[in-house]
Amino acid sequence: MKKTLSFVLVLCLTLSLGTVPALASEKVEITFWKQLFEEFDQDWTTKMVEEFNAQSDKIHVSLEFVDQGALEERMTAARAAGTAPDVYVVNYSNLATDVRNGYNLATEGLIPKEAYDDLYENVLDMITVDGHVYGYPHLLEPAAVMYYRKDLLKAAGFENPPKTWQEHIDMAKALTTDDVFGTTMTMDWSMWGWEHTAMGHWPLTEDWSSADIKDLAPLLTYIKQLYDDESAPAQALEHYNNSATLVANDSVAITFSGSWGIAALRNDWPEMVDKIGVAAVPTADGSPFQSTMGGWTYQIDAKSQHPEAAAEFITWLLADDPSRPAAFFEAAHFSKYTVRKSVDKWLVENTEAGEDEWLQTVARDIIPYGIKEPSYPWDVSAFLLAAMNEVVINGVSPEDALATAEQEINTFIENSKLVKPE
Amino acid sequence: MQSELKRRGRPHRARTAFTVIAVIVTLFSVFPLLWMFVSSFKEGKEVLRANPLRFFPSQWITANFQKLAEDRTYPFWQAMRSTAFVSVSAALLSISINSMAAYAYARIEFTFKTLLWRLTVLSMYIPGLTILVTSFVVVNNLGLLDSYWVLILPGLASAYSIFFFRQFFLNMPMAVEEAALIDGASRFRIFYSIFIPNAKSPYVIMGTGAFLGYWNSFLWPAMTVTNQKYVQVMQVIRSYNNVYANNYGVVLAGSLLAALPPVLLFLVFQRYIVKGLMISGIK
Amino acid sequence: MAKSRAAGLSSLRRKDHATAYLMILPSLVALGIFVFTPLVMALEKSLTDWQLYQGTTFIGLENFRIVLGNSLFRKSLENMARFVLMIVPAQFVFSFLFAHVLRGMHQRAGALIKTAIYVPTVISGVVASVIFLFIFHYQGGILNWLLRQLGQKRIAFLAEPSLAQMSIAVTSIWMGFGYNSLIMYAGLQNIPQSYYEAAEVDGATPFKQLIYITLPSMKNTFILILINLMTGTLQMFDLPYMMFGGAGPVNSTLTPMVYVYNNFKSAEYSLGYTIASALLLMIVIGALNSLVFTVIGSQKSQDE
Repeated sequence: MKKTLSFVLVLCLTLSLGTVPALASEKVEITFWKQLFEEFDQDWTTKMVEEFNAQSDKIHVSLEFVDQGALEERMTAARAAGTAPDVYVVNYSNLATDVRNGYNLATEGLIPKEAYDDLYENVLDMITVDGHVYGYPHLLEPAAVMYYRKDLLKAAGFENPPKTWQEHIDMAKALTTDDVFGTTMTMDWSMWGWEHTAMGHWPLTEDWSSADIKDLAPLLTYIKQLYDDESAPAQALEHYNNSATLVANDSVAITFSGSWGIAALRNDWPEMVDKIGVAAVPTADGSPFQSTMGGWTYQIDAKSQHPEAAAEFITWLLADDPSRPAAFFEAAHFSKYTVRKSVDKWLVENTEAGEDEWLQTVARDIIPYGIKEPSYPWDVSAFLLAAMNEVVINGVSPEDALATAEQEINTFIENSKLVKPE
Repeated sequence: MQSELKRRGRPHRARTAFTVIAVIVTLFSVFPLLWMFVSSFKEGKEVLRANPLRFFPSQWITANFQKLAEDRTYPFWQAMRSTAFVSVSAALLSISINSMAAYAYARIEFTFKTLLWRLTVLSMYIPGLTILVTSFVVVNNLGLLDSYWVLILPGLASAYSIFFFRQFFLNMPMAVEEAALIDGASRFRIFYSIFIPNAKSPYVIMGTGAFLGYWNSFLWPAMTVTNQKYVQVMQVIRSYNNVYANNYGVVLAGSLLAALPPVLLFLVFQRYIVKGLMISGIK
Repeated sequence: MAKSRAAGLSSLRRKDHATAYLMILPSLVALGIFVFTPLVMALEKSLTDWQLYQGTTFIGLENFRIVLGNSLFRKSLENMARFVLMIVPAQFVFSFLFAHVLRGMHQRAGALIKTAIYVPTVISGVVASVIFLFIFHYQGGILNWLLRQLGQKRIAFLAEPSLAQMSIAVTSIWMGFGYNSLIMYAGLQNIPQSYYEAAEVDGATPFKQLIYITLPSMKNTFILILINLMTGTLQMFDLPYMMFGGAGPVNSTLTPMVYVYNNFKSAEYSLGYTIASALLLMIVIGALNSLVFTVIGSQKSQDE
């Protein structure tokens, strides 16, 4: 009896010892939510996560895609439930709001300094709030790029795309027919770049104490002219983000959208690519247009149970071997721009990035003049858009519309006790 | 001759005129649905083509429907199955508990009855959105997120449903019930054998109404359910509207299929529904 | 003998009580957990700046003050009022008239017509929005195509503020037309034919019959329909959200529900603020509902 007992005991001990290494190697589980962007982005993200999981014996990343329309409400709900993902993706303009709410972690201790040194100056600035760095950026995309139909312009007698507002107005009018609109001019969030270029500053005073929008009047007049001429459709044919397709499906001759439109055109309308040209957006006097630089950055949730693991994943994915982000930019047909000097170098050395005409145009004429997205509350932009609509649709004079907007912005600032964060 | 006309009701010519008007009006109701139907067979780029505008597809393709089956992030057919399960079980549960409560309020005297009834009616005036956020917190604390429970349970408490049933029960004759009571039958027995069989109309109306409410909801599922096993079909269509902005045919195909079950349900029960609208609650 | 019967009766009553409680228990539990608990919580949270990741502070009525002062919130109330004026009377009149058409047409075709007009009602707001977004499209939509065929200029159904509101109203009326027509029809069918025959004998004109017979008899039906329409329009969310996303041109299609939803998902506003706006909304809706009840003089709520 004693012998059997001790035998069983030894057996149990051996077995448990055998399982101990297995327990020790149990992986840390990280959740990662990614917006549903283009298919190439989905493919790249999925592949990268698989690779990471395969090469890591300590961390397992579980990836989930969420469509952009549903993401915001889901994030709020998840945060309220305490189930927010360890790693999530946010755009530069919303980063400061997340910081203000304490949603994300400062990462100077978690992501190596070399990674941050590799970033371009202005990009590092975009992820720095109040002296701390947050997460790591993935890409940069100018939010305002002009797409035009070279063949339609040529047929109307124009060799080059418009550079000034007047040229734009004239060309758009000449290009408008029964079935094709000369241009689009969507009044949406994208107007940031137009506003800043027209005024030379943001719609608020430096300290955010009141509105500063008197210099916007000429911009409103210009937009109104396009609508009055019926060169721009009175009702947007597409959301701004999707507008690049309009030059491909013969709806309009000139349009504006973000640089991501390049990928949409190359993927969905390859047969039209030769007929389409890309250029910087026209300005009042032909000086460079200041497009806001949109883009996405990977963040770590402030309540994450495994911030180091999350940081390790983000570093591996974005800040490490340049070939990994580079694969993304290649798949994106160079419609998105890298934020790291080393990745840029890698792309030029190993791909046809150097020869792509559209990429060259954007890199030369748009990116150098790019500005950071604004961080004041959306309400301010909403009031300005309302003013634009009043001018265009209801025929209110720009001065009156701006006076109203100024009043509304000031009331809003006062009512919500708006304070500019440091 | 004149009295004969009177007996037949309106003269034939007037009836025809009314019928023509009815048909024209009905065309307005039906046309957008027909348009959705044909467009779901069109190639994406053709859906919004205006020159020339084609009502019928130049080529009837089924690619849009195939794409639905292939979507990796929001699997359409899984969503249909999940929504069917939730809607049917929730509808059945809803009419069970609410009609039972309505019977008690209609026929039984008990302490606190007025208070409880007033409370129940009060809940009708609380809009869903007001308690959306805190409802979420409640279900989270109960650990119900990402399950069938979170989709089914919250909507079961429908004061309107109780109200509707109660209205109907109040109008039912008491004689048979009283006799059964004297014979010693339990309230449950009475409810089960007398009231339910004679209340087909409100059951159908409330049942189909509940089914519809669940089938067509998207905001609550979007907040509480993300596992592919549980996503609901309207939640999926909303996402398709964003994701397939470049391929409208797919959005329309999904919308068409998602709209079919409620329509079929209605077609099956329409006689009851129409009759029921006539009898119940209009008193 | 009397004692035992009394005892028997009171035990019957006790059993009755127990049964009643058992019967209402599930619904009470559901209401308690999923309606009243969240409501009480909401009241509490609305007095704070409810932070999800940081400490929450009690701020009293501050949220309510900011909401009432917020021009977008006020605009949403304005829009809501406008929608009610656009949708409720129109739907009411259309369905009333069509109910007469249903009564007057050949009855054999009636079943088909009744089914056909009811189908839009079972379509969800999401699907209806998708369909009408295409119908109202500027270049490729069927309405503008029709206008071009007739030599007219295109109309920006979704870009012009008042037209945008009209587009939502049209979609909403399209959706509810069948349901409301059938209810009106049911109400009409319930009026005894003998009333009309007697009136005929007395020589009353159809107009007089309408005023003195139809309208009074339809009072309960009218109340039901008005309450339904009001409640539905006041809480409209699906259509404005799906068709216009944020707020529509010049914020013209921003309904209170969409306003609350926008606040909910945006990290700009604390959830306490969001809930405060939702509670204010509840008060407004409740007030309007009771207004309808009192003005029309409800009999239904009185028989309790």
